[in-house]
Amino acid sequence: MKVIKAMDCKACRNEIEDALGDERPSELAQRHLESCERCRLFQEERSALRELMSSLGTINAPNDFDWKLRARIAADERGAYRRRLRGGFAPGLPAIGLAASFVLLVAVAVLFKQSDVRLNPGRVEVATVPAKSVVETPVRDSVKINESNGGAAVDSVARVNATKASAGNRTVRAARATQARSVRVEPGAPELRASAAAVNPSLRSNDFSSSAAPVVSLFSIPVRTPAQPLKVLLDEGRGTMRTVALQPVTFGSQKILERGGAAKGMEQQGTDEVW
Amino acid sequence: MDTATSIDELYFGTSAPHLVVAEPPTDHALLEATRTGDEAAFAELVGRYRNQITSYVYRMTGDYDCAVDLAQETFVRVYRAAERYQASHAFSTYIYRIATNLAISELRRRKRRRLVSLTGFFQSSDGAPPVEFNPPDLRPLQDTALVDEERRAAVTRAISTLPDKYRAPLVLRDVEGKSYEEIASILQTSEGTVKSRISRARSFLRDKLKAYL
Repeated sequence: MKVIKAMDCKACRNEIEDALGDERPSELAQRHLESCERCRLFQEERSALRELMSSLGTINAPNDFDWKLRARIAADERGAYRRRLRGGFAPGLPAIGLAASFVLLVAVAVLFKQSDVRLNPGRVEVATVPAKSVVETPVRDSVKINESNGGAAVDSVARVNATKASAGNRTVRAARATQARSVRVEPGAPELRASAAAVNPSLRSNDFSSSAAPVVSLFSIPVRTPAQPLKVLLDEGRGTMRTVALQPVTFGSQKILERGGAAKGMEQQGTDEVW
Repeated sequence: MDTATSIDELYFGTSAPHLVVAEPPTDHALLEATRTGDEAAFAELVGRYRNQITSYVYRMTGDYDCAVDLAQETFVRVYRAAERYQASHAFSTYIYRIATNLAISELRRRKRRRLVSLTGFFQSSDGAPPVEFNPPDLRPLQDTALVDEERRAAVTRAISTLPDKYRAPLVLRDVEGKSYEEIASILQTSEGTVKSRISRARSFLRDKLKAYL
């Protein structure tokens, strides 16, 4: 006698799901469907759904499908040929990567340098110009020497550019060269050399931190000065002028000149008396 | 002594060969011929599958122009990769896999574009199914053709609302009539997963097409 085992709902529904098209369920499933209302409803729903899906039919390709496909393949092959051509001359990926790395490295270096300058702005300036000497020391002093001799016109002006070096020996050397050029000497006259610093000690710089020398330039004074004191007008370069009286140079004949009293009397006495 | 009763017997002898009908070449043979540059073989291959692939992609995307475009792209890829083809699977599995991948890529691209859908205005924020912009008229129509057309349009809309992973196996099974094994091979997954997804997809469709069941 053939024994037919009963089928549960899950197995029956699995069989219904797996059925394809008009495929009929097995005998076991049919027996279960006869007794199970819910599974029968499930089967009806699935059959209707399958019928709906199959009613969609097949969508045909357009008539020019082959021609368009042929054209597309031809275009694709041309594109592949061009890509191959371009690929022969195009740089490879390693070269592009190397170039990109180099550009990136340069960019990073530039950015780093810019940020360093922004963070330490005084570093560069300190190396060139000491700020202290610029502020505290006179940049340019000039000494004007006027020779006043009985209302005679000033024929000698010694202008001393006492340039205070602001930074470095190089600047000092340049200033000294300028001073040397600015001294005017009367031709043919014997010269006395004197220091402007000796004339006015205030011209010396108080800034000892600077290596630049104070006013050290020499200027010339004519020897043929009369008995009257020589007045020297000093231009301190800050809008102030100072007059300094220099004693006349005698060279041993001063007493004779003073005893004569005047030039007129000297001419009348004759030279024998003088010497 | 045998006597020849016809020219064939005279030419081939008394034991003339039977007329043998040449079997059509297999897909593998056609692709092999394509590999050697036989364009007629590739044209034969296209003729065999163009309607199937177009229909399948149309069911996946719901757009005929897009389906034709993707079907052509499928054949272009087959042609381009003919030299690398390995006959480890059926050719139909191979070409359906390409078409499926293209269709799914197209669906994902559409999702990224996030086109504004008219039905989206009627969709609730809690994930409930959207209200159809053109709801089906449930009254009986006089023309049977119109009824069928309306039903097909409703089924197409219902399929297009399925998630991608449910749509492909359902179409392959219920529209294209593929076996579970072949579907699993096309989708590169297991048969159990295919069965599960198809069952889930049918449950979705049943809810959406209650008016037609």
